[in-house]
Amino acid sequence: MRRLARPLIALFLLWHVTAVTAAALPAPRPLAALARPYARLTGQRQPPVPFTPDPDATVPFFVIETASGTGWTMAGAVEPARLSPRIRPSIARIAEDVWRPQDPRTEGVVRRFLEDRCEPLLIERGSRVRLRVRSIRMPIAIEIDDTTGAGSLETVDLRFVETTCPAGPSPLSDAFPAAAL
Amino acid sequence: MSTVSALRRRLDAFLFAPFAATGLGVLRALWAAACLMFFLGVLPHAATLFGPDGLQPSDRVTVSQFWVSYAALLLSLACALVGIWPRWSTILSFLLVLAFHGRNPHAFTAGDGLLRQIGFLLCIAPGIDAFSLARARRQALRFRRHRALLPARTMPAWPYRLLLWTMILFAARALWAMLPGTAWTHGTAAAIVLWHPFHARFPGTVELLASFSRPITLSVPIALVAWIALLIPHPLPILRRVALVLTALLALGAWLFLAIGTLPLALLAACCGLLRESDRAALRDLLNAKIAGPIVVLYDGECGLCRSVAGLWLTGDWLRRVTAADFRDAGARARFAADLDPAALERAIHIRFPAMGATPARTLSGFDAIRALCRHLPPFWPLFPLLFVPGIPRLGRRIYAWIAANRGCQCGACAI
Repeated sequence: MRRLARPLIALFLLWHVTAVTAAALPAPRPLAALARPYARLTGQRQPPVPFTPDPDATVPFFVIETASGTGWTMAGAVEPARLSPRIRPSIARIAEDVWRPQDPRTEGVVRRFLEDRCEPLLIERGSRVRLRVRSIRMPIAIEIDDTTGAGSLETVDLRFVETTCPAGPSPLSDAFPAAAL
Repeated sequence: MSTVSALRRRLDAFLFAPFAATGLGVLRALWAAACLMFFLGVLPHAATLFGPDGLQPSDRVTVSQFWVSYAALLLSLACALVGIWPRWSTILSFLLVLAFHGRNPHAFTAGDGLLRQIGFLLCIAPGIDAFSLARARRQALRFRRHRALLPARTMPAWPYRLLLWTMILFAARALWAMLPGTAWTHGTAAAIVLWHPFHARFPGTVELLASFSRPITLSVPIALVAWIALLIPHPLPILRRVALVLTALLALGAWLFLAIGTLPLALLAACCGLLRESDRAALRDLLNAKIAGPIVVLYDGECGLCRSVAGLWLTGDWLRRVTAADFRDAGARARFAADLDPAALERAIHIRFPAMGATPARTLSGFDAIRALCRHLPPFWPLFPLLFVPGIPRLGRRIYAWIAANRGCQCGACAI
């Protein structure tokens, strides 16, 4: 058994390195399809590469609105800079998923987040609420010295998620600090 | 046939040559520290992010089960950090980290992915008990019994190679993903990140740092290229150090000034794990440049407690500054303590400090000697400032005097 140990370890390492590398390939290939379950099971999925191809100069703001008559009224806004730095990366990741939806579960996550905000924002139960992701583009994408006036910043509404405030109090704890709203 | 056996020999040397395990032990501790910092940081929001009634509702787990598993995660990470049952605590931590990553993938960023990869490597690698409390205890026991430490912990080379491959793959993917962009070549990427309200940790420092945007930005692809260049057979040793130092500096800067999750800590952990014995020796030489010689601890070799404590100090002597000498040994006494009063040596531990920069050589005894020694032993650094708190030195001297007077000796009375 001891004589077999080294060849077995070497074979496993060869498989592991091949599988991890194949799973990292962007285009689907036969080997990648074979390797992905192993990579997923062992936590070897390649992490997303941050700030690529360029860091995103788009700053999202999350505006929560309630239905009033035929229009919508702003009830609150999530300002990322006012969130604790410890929770900000997670919120940033959720936010990123909101405006670039890649995961079918995102919609549910956002809806849940929105329902959680009804009580702190004193929105009546059963009211229609929606999350509007607004974004401004920072004027430093190409040249640092390019200081465009703040008034002329491009503002874009990217995506809406709509839901109804739950009948009872939100089961969530007061997780996201009220100061963020 | 000879080609096959030569190839086999080379592969054997490549994967199984003995390698110092210290780097992997450091990696285990830093990996656990990075995970622990994340999960402690989001503790107030844990129920929302991962709980059964949180952002991703689940019927399979109850709230109490969730909190028990969260507590188990924190506890196992703390054990892996300090090295209590290092193998089992690391495996349990990795499985729980994996479970929480699966529970709400939206809460995790690139750094968490890298930590997951490192975690798996730690679970399968031998030698992760290096640099742990478990080993420190064994070292102290060994010194108590044999007056010598265990030989340096070694492992086969393959965990090191696997970690290096993880970093090279990470660098190659990052470089590939950057290529279509313009901000990295224009030197503005760092400025964008530093100005972004999601990322800047201290908005007040943004303008100061943004003026260094170009060199910071350009050093990122340089570091990535250096990692990829390690694929060249027999790369120059300086290339590995460039990759390590540049990545570590960038990670440290990112950790200090940006709120981008665990990526900086994961990169720092990987860089420390990839330090070889020669790198650590070079670092030690740099840090010890102003120290004229060894710090000599003159302990009582007939006292079991003294031997255990001396063994513990030697284990914590990561900077390789300390030499322990049994003052009851005539040779050691003649060499290190010829000018010291034997009765004083009997009463309290004496430590001889060499000249360090502008500070001349000196000999301290008792509590003051231990306090001064703590400055040179990194595991005791958290204790060092506490020993100066008013009242503590007085209390410390009394406790030390009591312990020294009541210590047990092999031959009954502690007399030379």
